[in-house]
Amino acid sequence: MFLISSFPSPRTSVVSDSSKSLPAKVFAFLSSFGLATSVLVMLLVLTFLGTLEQAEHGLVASQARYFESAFIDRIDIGACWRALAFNAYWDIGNVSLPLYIVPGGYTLMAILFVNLLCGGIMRIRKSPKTIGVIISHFAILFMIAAGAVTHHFAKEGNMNLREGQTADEFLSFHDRVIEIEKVQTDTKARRSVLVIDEAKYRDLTDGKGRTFTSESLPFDLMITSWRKNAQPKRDAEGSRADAVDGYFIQELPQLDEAGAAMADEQLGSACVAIAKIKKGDEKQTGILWEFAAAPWTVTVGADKYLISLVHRTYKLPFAVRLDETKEEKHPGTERARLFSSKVTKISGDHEEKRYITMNEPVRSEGYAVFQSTFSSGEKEGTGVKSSGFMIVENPADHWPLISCIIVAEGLLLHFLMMLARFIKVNPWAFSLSLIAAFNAAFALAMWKLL
Amino acid sequence: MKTLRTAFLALFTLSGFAAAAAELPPLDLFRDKEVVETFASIPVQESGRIKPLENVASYRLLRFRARRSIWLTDSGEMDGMALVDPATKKLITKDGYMDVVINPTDGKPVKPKPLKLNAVEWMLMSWFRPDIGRTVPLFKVDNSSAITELGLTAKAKRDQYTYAEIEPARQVMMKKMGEYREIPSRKQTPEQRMIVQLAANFLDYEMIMGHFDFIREPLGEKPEGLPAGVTLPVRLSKSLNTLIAAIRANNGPPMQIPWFRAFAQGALGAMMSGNAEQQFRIFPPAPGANNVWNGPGEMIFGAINSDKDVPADQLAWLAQYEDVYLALPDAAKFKTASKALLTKIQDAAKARGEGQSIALERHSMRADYFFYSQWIFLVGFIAVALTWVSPGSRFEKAARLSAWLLLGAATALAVTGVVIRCIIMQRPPITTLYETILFIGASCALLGLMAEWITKRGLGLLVTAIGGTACMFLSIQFEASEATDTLQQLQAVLITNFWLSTHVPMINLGYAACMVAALISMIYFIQRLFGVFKTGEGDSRLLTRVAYGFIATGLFLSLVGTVLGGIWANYSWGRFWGWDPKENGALMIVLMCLVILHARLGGYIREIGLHCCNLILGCIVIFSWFGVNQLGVGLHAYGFTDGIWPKIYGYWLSQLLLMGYGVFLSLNERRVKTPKVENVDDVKLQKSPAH
Amino acid sequence: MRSLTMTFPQPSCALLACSLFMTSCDRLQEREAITETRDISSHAPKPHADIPSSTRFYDDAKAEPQQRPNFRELLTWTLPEGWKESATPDPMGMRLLDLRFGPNQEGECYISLMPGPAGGLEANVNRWRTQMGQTPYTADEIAKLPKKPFFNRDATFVAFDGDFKGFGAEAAKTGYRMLGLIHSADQATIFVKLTGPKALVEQNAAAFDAFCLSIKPNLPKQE
Repeated sequence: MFLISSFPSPRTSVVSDSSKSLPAKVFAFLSSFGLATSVLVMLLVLTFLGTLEQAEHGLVASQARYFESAFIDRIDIGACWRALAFNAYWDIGNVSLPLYIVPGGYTLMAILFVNLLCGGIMRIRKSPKTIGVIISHFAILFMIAAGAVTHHFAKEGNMNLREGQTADEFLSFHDRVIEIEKVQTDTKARRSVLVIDEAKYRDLTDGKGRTFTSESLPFDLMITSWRKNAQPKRDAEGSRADAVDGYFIQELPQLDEAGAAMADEQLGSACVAIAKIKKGDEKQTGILWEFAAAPWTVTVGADKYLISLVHRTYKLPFAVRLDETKEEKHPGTERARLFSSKVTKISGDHEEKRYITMNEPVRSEGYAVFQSTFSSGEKEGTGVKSSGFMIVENPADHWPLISCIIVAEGLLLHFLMMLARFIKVNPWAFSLSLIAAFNAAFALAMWKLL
Repeated sequence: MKTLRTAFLALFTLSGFAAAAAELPPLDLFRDKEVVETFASIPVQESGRIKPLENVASYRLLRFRARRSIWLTDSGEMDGMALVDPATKKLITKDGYMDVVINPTDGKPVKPKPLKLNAVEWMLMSWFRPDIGRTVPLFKVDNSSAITELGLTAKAKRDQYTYAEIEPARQVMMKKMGEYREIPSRKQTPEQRMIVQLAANFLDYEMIMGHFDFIREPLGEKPEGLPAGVTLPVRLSKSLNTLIAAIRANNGPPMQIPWFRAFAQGALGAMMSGNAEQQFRIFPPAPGANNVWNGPGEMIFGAINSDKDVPADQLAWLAQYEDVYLALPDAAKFKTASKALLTKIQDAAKARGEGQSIALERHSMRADYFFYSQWIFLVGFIAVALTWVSPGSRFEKAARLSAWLLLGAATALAVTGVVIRCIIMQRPPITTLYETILFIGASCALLGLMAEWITKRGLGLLVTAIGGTACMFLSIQFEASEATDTLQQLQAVLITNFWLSTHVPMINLGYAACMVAALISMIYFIQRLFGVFKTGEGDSRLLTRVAYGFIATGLFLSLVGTVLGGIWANYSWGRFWGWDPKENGALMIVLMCLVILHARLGGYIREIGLHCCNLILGCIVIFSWFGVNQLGVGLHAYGFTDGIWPKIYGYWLSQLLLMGYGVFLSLNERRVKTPKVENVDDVKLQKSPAH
Repeated sequence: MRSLTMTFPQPSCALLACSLFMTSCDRLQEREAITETRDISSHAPKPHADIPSSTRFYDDAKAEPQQRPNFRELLTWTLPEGWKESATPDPMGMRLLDLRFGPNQEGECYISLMPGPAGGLEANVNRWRTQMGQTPYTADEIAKLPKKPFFNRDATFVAFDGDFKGFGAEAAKTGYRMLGLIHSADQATIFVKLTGPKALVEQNAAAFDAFCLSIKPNLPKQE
């Protein structure tokens, strides 16, 4: 077989070779096609299930469960079934398959990384015929590394600005925190808050509670009765035992009317907070809610503390003022053709005018500011136009581009050489000239269109 | 403004149309080549772009009856009895007006040759002869229980109904439409969906038939309480400002003005659609002014809602438009007036630098590239089949040559069609689900021809024929089921020609290459089924190699295309990968290609295994091409189409059957071969580089 | 699992890796010290303390449903003796105040308000003249119409005799008289119109003047 023979010769025999030492056996396993194939198959299945579950569990939840997890705890077969619309024929109801030990996306990517490194770079036969494969393998390694760096170190969030408003903070899309701020009498004093990450309290559903302490606080804060999506309701009859200041937390469904998962941003979490004053036995109880109009106030003596449940705030190294924002529509329709904003970037005393539009962000000091939404202010009733900006800080920002170029060249080289041998022409001349043509076309497109 | 319009719409539902005026022009005038040509070319601004009136008429008709033409018969089809012109009481036939002739032998009327109208002729007939329009079976109803629910007598399960047949159920239908619209589309029953659709079509057609009422009788038959200075017959181009002043001055709701209802009805007809984006806009503004074209309906409603008078230049447009209608029934005057209108609109559009691609778009509509290419692909398929009749003979050579020519021509047509669409819209080929079908179809055909050029064994021709026919057929079905203009303006985030011309075509070429690979594997199993060859024999090797080559191509295109998409996202809105369903679909294709390549190298699959895996790859491509849009989540969910799941299941099931057959073959071979220990040799043979 | 770094599972045994991952998770205790702090930017809005729960949870509005601006509440007036509000609602819903007077309630007087100039004085006066079966005034004639103080400004006063045929009326009522006052401004136009049999109207002419003078804007208190 001509086409197939151009690959490195199979290495299946190694596994069964019992004369090798243990490290050699381990290396043989880690670099094997068997491991590669099974990891790829598992990634495939996992991607399929994770995609299906999005319909009912939402993107953020299924991303956490399938793609970023070390292990998958369960598969919601019922949700997948309905996503494929099979329920039109046979409704199987809610079926869930508990798993626990099946590796999740994070583990699989890690294994794939090792397998690629051992098999695809170290062990592969080095010859002119395999050079394209090695280049591509290297690029994929780089891409997985970029993914890991992004996953661990990138920050992203959004910043809404009305025309004329200035800000240098942005809010995470999905990470929530509880913040505690001491009210200061001096309005010019530097303000700071204590922050509790959601990971430390999101297990506190139904009766569970945890106490958070800090030496700087005159009270300990206990968090309990956390709900992912809830709304405080007035306890009209006064009959509820869990009512706090006349309100109780009512849990809301996470599916919309049509049965589809609501976006994570639309979910408002809530919990009960109990401040136990350190001196004496006094307790103050309040409800914290993501969408609350104002923080909950704890008063200890003459001091006041504001406690709120909010999206995590990140600081930008510079401030942005929105000078003007506008929306263009396709004529005679309500369909947007262009959102754009004129902003001023302020670092210290230095001011700089910048222009942001769709597909054209402003990049500075490792941060990129993208135009994402526009509001004419009519709905809010303010009439003041505002823009939503997506802000990203990612150390691996440009890595995928580099990796993409390398993988493209590598695969092109390899497959074109295969084709050249098949149609019996000079492989190097054929593949290199076509690669040159391909690159020239791409460069031309970039030059003309970008 | 919106609320006012809605209020009028609601009121509008209370009454139907008055009968048409007495002096009716003959239908033949609106089939006159010159007249049809003039009207078809009129530039219209709709859904944010300038298009010929032919396009508007064509998609309206397509939405009403799933076809682009209509027979003037009692069944709406060719085999029905010709309709009677209410004015002349004669049959409308292909050969002109005729009297009813009774066949003496069976006492039934003789069916004359019926008349067929194209979309523009139909639009003109509805505009100028609404009395005939009422009697044409126009509304296609796929679900007769919807008709029963409206309290009407249902015909066949799927049938066509005239405006006059639906009219008695008007109030019931409007009430139900109001109720059902509140239900999210996912939860509507098929009947509810049908009624909502029928009601919308019915109202739209009513507006089309009443389009010229605002010129004929802008204030109703015998208007009362006319403001000073307005005389009969009322011409809006002269009296619009006076009328509007009277409405503003009225210290009560405008409905208490006796002529207001007729006035508002006329304005609705002038607007010609309840959908704001599809209002009839034919008056280009002056160069440099705003981008929104004006239209008769917009002009009237705009005047009611603003406190300024309509400027003289706009009234001049209205006067020009009135001239066209008032020229009737004099044919010569009508032709002159309509040509003058066309010239004026064309000149005004030209001055703005708009409407240059009208002629090209009309050409592409008339040439109907994809329709013809479908049939030529099909004939090409027959030619390919003929090559199998007597291998090696001169007949085979002749058949092969004709297959080459036919398939080459069909591919050229499909490619030309796609290129013309790009030129009209001034953007890369793929922006909607419909366009992916065209692009993938053309690409499959091209890839097949390339494979044939390399292998010369007829396989590539077969792939081209099947892929081309299937995709062109699918595109035509898809267009009819959507029934909206397939040339759409883009969402803001997508407007970037660089990424649209790299990422999107690459991904779709990747889909095409993988589909070709799957197609080859289908061909493989079907040939096995007919015992054409056995594992490792002759053509089976070739099939495997070519399939393998397409997987490699597919991997390259999908991998690079997917990553490019990520890079686009990263540079445009800051997120390389979002686990969006469409992205995941593309990733699944890449992963499946990698699985196949690595499993093959690892020796886990051989010939049959590879072809089985290819079938799975095909299923994945179909899932990410059509299936993920049905999940209803994510950025890429651009093609929400009803009833696509059953078709996907059908495809999957057919592939499962073929795979089952593959497993059976493989088990069978193992059982036969194991005792002879040929298996090992076979493996070595396949993998030996020297072979 | 944010605490994980890129550790690669050890050879051959996913299960082993599994247990490693599991144990590397931080177990949360019953008491946790708060370790993280954040500085607040000077651009951030100032916080508000002691906000009641009902405000925090947007419950204020529900207790007291927000009222749509009602034109009727924009005005105050004093009713002349013997006049009373119409028992039946006016069919067009455009009258702020709809009054009746006279022995058989045949006299009618109403206030209506239109946003904007509502077509201008000339059109409105002439519309009323048409209703009374009179020929329209010319611009000169309209300019010469008397003015009366109204709404702290001048308003045009009209008085016509004739056969009154209101909108929607089948036949004209003969021997009628109409009194009207139109005050037109850029933002709004206010009409006061009185119709009835001539004798009755003449009896009530003074009451009409008094009533018009009593109409005052009732501006909502600024918050």
